[in-house]
Amino acid sequence: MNRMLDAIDNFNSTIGKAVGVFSFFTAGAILYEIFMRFVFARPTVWASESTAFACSMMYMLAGALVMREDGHMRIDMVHSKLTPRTRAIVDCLTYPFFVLYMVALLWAGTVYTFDSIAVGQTTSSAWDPPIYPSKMIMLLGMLLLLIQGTAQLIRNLMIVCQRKAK
Amino acid sequence: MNTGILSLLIVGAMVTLMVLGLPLAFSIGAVAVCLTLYMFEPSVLTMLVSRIFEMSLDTALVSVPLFVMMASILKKSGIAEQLFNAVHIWSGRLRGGLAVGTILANLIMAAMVGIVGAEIVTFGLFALPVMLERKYDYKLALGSITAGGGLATLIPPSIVFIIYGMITGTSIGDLFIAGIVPGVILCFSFIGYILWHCWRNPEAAPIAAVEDLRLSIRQKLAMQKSLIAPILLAGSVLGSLYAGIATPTEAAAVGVGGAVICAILNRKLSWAMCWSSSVETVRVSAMMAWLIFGAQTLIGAYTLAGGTDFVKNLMISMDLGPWGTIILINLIWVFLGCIIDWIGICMLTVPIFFPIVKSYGFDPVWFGVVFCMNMHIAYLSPPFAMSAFYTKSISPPEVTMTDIYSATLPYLYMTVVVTIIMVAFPSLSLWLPLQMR
Repeated sequence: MNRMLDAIDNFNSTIGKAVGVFSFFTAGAILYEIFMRFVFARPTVWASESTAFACSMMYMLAGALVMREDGHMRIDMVHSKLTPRTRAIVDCLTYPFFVLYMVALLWAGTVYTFDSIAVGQTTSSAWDPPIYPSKMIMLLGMLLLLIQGTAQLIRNLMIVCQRKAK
Repeated sequence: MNTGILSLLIVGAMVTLMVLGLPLAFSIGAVAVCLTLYMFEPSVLTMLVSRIFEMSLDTALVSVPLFVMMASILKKSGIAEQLFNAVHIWSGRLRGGLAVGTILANLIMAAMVGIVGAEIVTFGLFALPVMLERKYDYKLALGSITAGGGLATLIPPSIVFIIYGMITGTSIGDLFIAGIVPGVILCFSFIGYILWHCWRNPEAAPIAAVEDLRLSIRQKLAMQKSLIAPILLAGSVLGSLYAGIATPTEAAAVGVGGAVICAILNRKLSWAMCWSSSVETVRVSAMMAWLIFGAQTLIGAYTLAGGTDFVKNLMISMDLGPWGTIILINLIWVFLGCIIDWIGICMLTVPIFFPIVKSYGFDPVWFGVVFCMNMHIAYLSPPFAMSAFYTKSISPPEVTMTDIYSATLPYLYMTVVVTIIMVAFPSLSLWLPLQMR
């Protein structure tokens, strides 16, 4: 079990860190666009949209990394004063709400994405790329977040049970 | 159900989940899903997803990771340390000089960095040990670092202005320029407080040892060379924005380029440094983005349920007049600032308040400055004081949160006073943008 949880952690960390590449891409693409526009007066058609897509993917896929590192902002006034076991119990109690949010997004997001694939939706700009890949990435990001959250739940349940066994 | 009771239930549920320790982003989102399922059909959930998706593709939002990246490269480029040294060597004979130097260095750094956390962590790491070594009072040292870092919210480029401009459709360039005068006023009021405090309590800030004073004017001037790169960088970012040749996103990309050049000049550039900067960028911007997504879903569902109109009508029926409304909004912001972070406040309240304020004929840019001042208060006001959390993360372990809160209290009062001045005299914030047009 522990090995599986660690595997989830590592997988999400790797994905989250790998999307750091998108931040370089974004900076590079926009600098290139500025260069082309001012030096050659030939602005690119793709820079603005592709960087928006890159950033969107970055936020989506890194959500799980942030969760693993406990980086999502929270109010820990009460939380930090609890014993590890009580904290684990409280976290288990709030977990259903997290799942509700993620499952609702995943379910509605699937409908949303399939509609988009069905009509072959594009951005209708000069560059006109299809939109659905980025929607699929959004779903993937939400799924990874749900998995990471569940891994955290299992850890908390283990803490709760362990102490009881003693 | 009555919209009023529904609104109270929403706030209650959100606060309960947050206090139980569920991250803000998910607490807000879960409440949005509950609200949608209770009021409408499940198919309406698609609207929440489309709001998230469209927000994630907003081109103005692209500037956020870029400014985060610029800050994190600068943080590692050794520039902050040079800045601090260049500024504080003049302060040897001045009581409280190091604290004043910290605030001034923060002001210059704020013109390159739009994130409070980056400022506090960067300066705290070396300014705090220097001050403590010179036997500065703990409170003075902690307070100046915590409050000085907050200047990043007002001095452009500021992420707070970007998000506000994105939601309200106000020109981000105008907001940036409008933040300069209030930021400088705030900075000097902090300095004024420090000087007054040190004059009253000389033991709080011992003056420099003799050997520190021996530097000749020439040596001191030589150290000012390190100011050139930061000033050029801040100038190129803000200049391209004000000249109207670049969007905030492009200005941010120029900033990343400049930050890399600064790192090269200081021989600090390496693959490891680039890698860790990019991971830090991902971390901070994904955290912010998910918070924004959560708030987007809730405000969408709440508007659909008639909540936004309800609050609007409620505020109009209270018949407070234009200024009474502004004061009420300020009080709400200050209260919210004590419990949630600024992104949540911005996304949840600004879409509701903005139309009301606009219908009274107030200037959107000025309202943005007022919002930003309030977020400055929010950063410092306990129990949810983001700035204090950052300071805690770089302080010696014996420093408690209570120490930091009491150290920042005087600066919090100063900020409240400056906020009142900014509210009362809109021309202070609007004068500079008018000159630029």
